[in-house]
Amino acid sequence: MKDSHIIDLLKSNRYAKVSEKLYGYFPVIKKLILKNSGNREDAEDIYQEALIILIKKIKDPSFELRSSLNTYLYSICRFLWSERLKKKNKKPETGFEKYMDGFQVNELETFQKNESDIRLAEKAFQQLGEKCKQLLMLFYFKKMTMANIAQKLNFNSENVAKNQKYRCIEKAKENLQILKSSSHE
Amino acid sequence: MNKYTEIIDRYLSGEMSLAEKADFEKQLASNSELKSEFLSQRQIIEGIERVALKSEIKQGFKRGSFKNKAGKWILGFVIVALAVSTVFVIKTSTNEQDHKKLYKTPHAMASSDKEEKLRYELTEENNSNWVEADKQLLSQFFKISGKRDTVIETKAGIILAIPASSFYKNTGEEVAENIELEIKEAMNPLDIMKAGLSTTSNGELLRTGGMFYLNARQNGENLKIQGKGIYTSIPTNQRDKDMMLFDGKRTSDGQINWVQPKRFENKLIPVDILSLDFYPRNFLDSLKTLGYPIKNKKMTDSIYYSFVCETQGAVADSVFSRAMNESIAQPLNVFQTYSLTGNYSATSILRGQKDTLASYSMGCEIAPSRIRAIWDKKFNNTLLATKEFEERLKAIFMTCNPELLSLYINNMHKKMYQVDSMASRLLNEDKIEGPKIFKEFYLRKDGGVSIGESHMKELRAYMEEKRSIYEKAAQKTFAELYKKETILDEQLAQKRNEHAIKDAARLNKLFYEELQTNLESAYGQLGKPYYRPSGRSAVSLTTFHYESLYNVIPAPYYYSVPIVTTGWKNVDAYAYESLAKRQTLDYADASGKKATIRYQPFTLKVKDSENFDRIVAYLIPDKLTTFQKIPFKEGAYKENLNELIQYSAIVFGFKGNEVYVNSISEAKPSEETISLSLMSQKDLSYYAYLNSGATNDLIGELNHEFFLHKETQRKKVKTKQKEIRRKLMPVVFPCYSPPPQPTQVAPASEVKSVSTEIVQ
Repeated sequence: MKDSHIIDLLKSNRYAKVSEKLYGYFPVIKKLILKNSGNREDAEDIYQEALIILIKKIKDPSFELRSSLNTYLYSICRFLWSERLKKKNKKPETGFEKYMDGFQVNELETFQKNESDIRLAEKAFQQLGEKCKQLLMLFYFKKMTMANIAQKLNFNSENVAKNQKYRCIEKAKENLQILKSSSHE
Repeated sequence: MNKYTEIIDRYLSGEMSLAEKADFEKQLASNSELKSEFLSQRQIIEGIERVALKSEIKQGFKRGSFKNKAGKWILGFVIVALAVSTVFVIKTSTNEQDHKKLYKTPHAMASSDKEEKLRYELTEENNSNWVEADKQLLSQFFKISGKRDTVIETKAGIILAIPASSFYKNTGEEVAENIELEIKEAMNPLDIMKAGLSTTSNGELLRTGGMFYLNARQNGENLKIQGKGIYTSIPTNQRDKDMMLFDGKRTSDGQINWVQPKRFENKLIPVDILSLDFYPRNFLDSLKTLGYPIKNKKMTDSIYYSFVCETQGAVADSVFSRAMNESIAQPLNVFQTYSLTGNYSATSILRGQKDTLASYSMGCEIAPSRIRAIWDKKFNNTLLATKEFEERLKAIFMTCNPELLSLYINNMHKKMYQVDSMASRLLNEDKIEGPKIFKEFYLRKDGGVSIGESHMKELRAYMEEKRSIYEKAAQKTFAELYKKETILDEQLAQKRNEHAIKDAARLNKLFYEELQTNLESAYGQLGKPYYRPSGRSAVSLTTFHYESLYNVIPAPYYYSVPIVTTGWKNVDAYAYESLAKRQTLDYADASGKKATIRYQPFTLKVKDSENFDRIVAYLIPDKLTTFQKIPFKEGAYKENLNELIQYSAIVFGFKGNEVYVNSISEAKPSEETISLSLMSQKDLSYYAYLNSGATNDLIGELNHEFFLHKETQRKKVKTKQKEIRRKLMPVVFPCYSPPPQPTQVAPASEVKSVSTEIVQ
């Protein structure tokens, strides 16, 4: 599997395909996490989180991939898992840290800072009704036009769909406010 | 509705004009309420994207995981089916290093990680005399270990079986790890010409079957080959016994001279004997038409072995007759419920042991029981367990001569061609009329099998696996296409002539495309590297379906030779060796006069030649896989043409990554100027396959032409001699009266002048 091929897929937004193709890297990461007091679920979680970071990074035009995808993904997983272990006040196996060399820890730390905010936003979104979720995903993720969305989701007109979209966003913002205030307590 | 939601969304979705945007941003800086709304809205959108992305990733992850498991399952199945248990075991990886192996077989430690042209400063001879071909051809690198036997296959399908401990340093120290094998190859005409390779050996033209370069290094230091050498198999579509392996010597003018030819060994590679077909010719086909399941070997065996007949041969051989007695008990009952028609004479069926004496008939000479005795696993790894023997056996059946069979069985430690020669003598083929089958076998010079060496076993396993993957994929494709083909056939019948060819071509293409898909998936399931078409051509341009097939389809034949030195190698035969060696004297004049062949100058100029980085010009003798590079002298490409040969001339111009081309289909002794144009798809396929279908028959044609030429010359000389003789006769023998020649009675004066000439 060629990295350039994966990157091409990413650039054409075929994320599911990318994830499928990269599956081959998972066993190594699983091994890593199992060895360091994690379980399979942790491994999947970390791996998928790392994939998201990888995808975001590669889509960022200012980012420059300095190693193979495999190595990069592996480093992200190591970083994420050691962060998580730190939070749990567990120490990773000795020698765990030293694999981080040549890798932009800074980049990942800034990435991590936004992470808790985004998690709340995810939750706020997940609390919406099914139709809202669909509508928002089609627009913001699949980048479909409102006219097409209106047709697909059986709205009477594009305008109706548009107004519905605003209402859904507002609802999500409300959810987010509530989540934020409760998390501050 | 919140007053800000819409405007923020329009901003975030990029729906604003520049002016609106600037205004919005101004507000954003001053209005804290807007700012807070904006931040949380942006956050929400990020959340939406994240959720969607996660779900896609999960989906792909599940599919990947499923495929991985399914792949392993199929793999396990294939291992059982092939009984090649050690060839590729995928184990769950333990670290990153192991993990990489997941995609490669132990053999194919193999797949080359990187391609470049010149990675090192020094050649295998520790100098920096890289020539044009070194610089133009991409290298394939393989990392291997010196501790075990390795089989690797290059992109063009050259297979190298490398025994453990094959490499050592100049100091004599053996190298165990991190051996880097570098291979460059030019196996098709296009690659050969682009690389500027020429097929000449000390000025003599060679016909080539492909060229390659091989070197081994450890940390950049050149290694040497020791021991028996690297057993190399070079794929070919047809076997040519004149082919030899030449070593390349780089010359000071940037070319390679091919020297020290070495014959190929033609070692045979044994396969699983049970996978061969030892039945008489058409046995399986006939059964099939009779409606028997021919894939069930037990069934077909029981039918075949039930044809027991006591021939002289079988009686003489008590071991075989015992085996025979054991064989008849059970299967016979099964068989008797079927009725036989067709090719098989009823007299040859054993209806009970008592009847056997009565069942003497032609065709029964080679008793099935004898076949049964040899068609057994214990003969695996012998001369008998080869495709080549299968071929002989079919011929033996046709001769109805059991002695021939004994000959092959008793001499299985010998080389195949030795036994072929004995067989030919036994049949007195030299004296009899008709086809000389065993003599032809003999002329192929098939060797023996060498079984002791473990790397040969690995090679065998590799070949078998390759063949089996291919056969499965091909079968599947054929089955799927069969229906379509029937439909097309019907259409074909309606449309008749004009479209027939087109449709056939389409069908053919369809087959290859589907075959490729099937092969790719078969290889994928096995975790084996599969080279997509782009892999093959040295200068990577667009490619064609047959290119990728080239290396996944097992070649029909391989030239095999142990290689003991690194450097450039060329599979070649002298283009005119057969001409020179040919017993032309058999036909030619008794006087021993030699006909001369004229060479006439040909000059080629390329328009705007200064615009190109590099230009190569070739003369391609018609229908010969020979590449004669035209030297550049005094502003033009100049070469002498052999008057017997029809040449085409081809010129390639390189400008950056672009390739320009033009050709002259019939190069005549003259001066020509041509201009080059950018290479198209059509050109590419044309030049890639140029002359690659040249056969020995064509060499034969050439021989014939050569002979005719000599004949004409000889006749001319003879006629002239006769003429002189005739004219001189009356002079020498004044009393001689010439036979009446109504038109050409020589007057006395003419006779006189001839005689003066002679004196001079």
